[in-house]
Amino acid sequence: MSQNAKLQNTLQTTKPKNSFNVTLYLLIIPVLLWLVLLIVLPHLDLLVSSFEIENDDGEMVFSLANYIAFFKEEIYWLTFVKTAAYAIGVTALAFIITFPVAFYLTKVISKKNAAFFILLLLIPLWVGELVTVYGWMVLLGDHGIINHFLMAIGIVDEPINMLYTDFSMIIGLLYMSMLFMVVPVMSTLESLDDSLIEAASDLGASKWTIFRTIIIPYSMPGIVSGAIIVFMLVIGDYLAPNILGGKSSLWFTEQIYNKFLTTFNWNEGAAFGFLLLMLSSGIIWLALKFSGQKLDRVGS
Amino acid sequence: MSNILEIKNLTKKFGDFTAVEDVNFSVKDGGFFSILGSSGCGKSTLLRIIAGFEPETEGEVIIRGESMKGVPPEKRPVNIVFQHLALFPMMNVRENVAFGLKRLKLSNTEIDSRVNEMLSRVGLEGYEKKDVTALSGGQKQRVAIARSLVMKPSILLLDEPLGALDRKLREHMKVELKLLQREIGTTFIYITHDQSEALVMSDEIAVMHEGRFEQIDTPRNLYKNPKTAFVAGFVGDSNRFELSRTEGDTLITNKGWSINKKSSMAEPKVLYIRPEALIINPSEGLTDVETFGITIKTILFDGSNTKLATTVTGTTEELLISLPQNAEFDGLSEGQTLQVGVHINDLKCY
Repeated sequence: MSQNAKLQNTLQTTKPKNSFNVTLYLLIIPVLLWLVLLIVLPHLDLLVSSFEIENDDGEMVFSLANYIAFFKEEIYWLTFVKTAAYAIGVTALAFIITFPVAFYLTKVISKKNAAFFILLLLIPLWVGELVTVYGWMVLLGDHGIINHFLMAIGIVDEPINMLYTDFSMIIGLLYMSMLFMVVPVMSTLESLDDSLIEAASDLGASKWTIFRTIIIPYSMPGIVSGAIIVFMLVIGDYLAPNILGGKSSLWFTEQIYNKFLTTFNWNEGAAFGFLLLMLSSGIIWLALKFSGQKLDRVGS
Repeated sequence: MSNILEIKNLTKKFGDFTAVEDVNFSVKDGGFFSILGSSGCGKSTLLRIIAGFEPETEGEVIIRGESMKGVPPEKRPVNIVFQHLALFPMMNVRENVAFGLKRLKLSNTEIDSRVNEMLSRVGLEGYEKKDVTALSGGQKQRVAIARSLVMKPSILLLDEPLGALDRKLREHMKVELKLLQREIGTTFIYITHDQSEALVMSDEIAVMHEGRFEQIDTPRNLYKNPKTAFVAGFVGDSNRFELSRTEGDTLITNKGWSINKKSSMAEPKVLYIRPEALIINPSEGLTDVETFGITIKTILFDGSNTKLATTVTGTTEELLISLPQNAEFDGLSEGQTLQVGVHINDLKCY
């Protein structure tokens, strides 16, 4: 056997490529099934039906009418823009409220105490969104706990109208999504070495400068990944806008729901669904561009 | 030269634990001052007090004649190089070094010229745009030092900055740091547990033990004339003998070895002899040299640091002797007996 043939022989026997591939495929199959059957196929079907309308003979033909309907009717795209703006606003609010919490839990108190507080933060997740939404109704209603308390101590004479407004809707959206901001931000803050903060302070940076130039840039991957999750949850939420938002606070998911289940216009509903998908993807793409973050870094 | 730093009666307590106890010292302008001690002796706490990260419980830190009481770290004319360097990972080399200058609101041209000057001084020209996470250990070290030195501090504090480097690089950086300090003339206060770092680089060394300073001296004096038993044992290698009693000029160890020391102090408890203080086969007629016999147990070969592990003949006391590598003693073998001498000034009693 020549030297070369020998070498090739060893290579073939030592390289477990085939068996490795089989294991890999076996492991990947459930994931692929999940993606294809539950996400890709229904979306393809929706995409096709969003470009179809029924003609006079009852046949489905290609048309852009579903999308044109969206732009023609003011209420649709107003809701669309409002949903986008509110979702961005709620994401920003979630960041403002939770960042100090995450900082406090990771950098100020001891690890043992932090574990307890994190457990407290998780409790709303156990009871489910519907229950917490009803909880807010009990709190915010005209005869709810807050109004009752305010009237009892004489601050107001008549109940303040809080329920079924944008205010109550935002509270509901914030409450159900906030935790998903805390967790990724905490995990990046945990890896922030305290001596970085001390080094910055040693080099003459004020507290605000340290926050702006060290802490925020360092935790940016966590902030962006938290923001993406919160934004997605909020823009696609149905319960909080529907129950807490009332008549005046239309959310785009409600429009889609109406198309599918009230007017049974599935084709227009599909078009609306795709518009929402494009909206959220577009905003996230812009946010990643703007913050200079890469999706793969944010995801880890 | 005037004193740039004065520490007066400094004490730091964490609850019941006293980390730093009544420490007094001063550092001359332009000096290289080391604080040497094992881990947990309070040296890092002391450094953090000088930098302003920890408030002192009692006493005072005075820099250039001004009391630093209540002055926050960002307002003190000192900069610190952290143990793990604490480079900002989201910034490149230039941004790291420029960080402090930007806080001074200097013009961009001045920041640029000072950063460039400092980077060339530490040998990092051309690395401005490099990510700090992509640098080697020695380069990171230099960025950290440049980042502090560019601020032109009155005092540069260094908290075991060479600890994470491998041995070869550490030896190299030791020399480099000393030369850099000579060149720029900034006062360095250097914290280390590595006596070799302290001995090589410092003008003065303070040996710290359990929150107190045992001795402040030049490296040579510290090595030659340790004032306390701790310093004698901690700095350099030493043979240590517990003394049971003295009879006139004669010291008697626990294991029954007796050796004369003419100028004896009252009631010494321990005796230290450095391995290199022992003279193998001393010539006849040397004055003030005590001679005795030893038996070689084994030869510990370590290049220039080779030692003989021996027992003092007639006792069970063990004694390490430095063996010069000049071919004179190549013929030594285990079990051999030798005459060994030691000058009485090299018998250190405490």
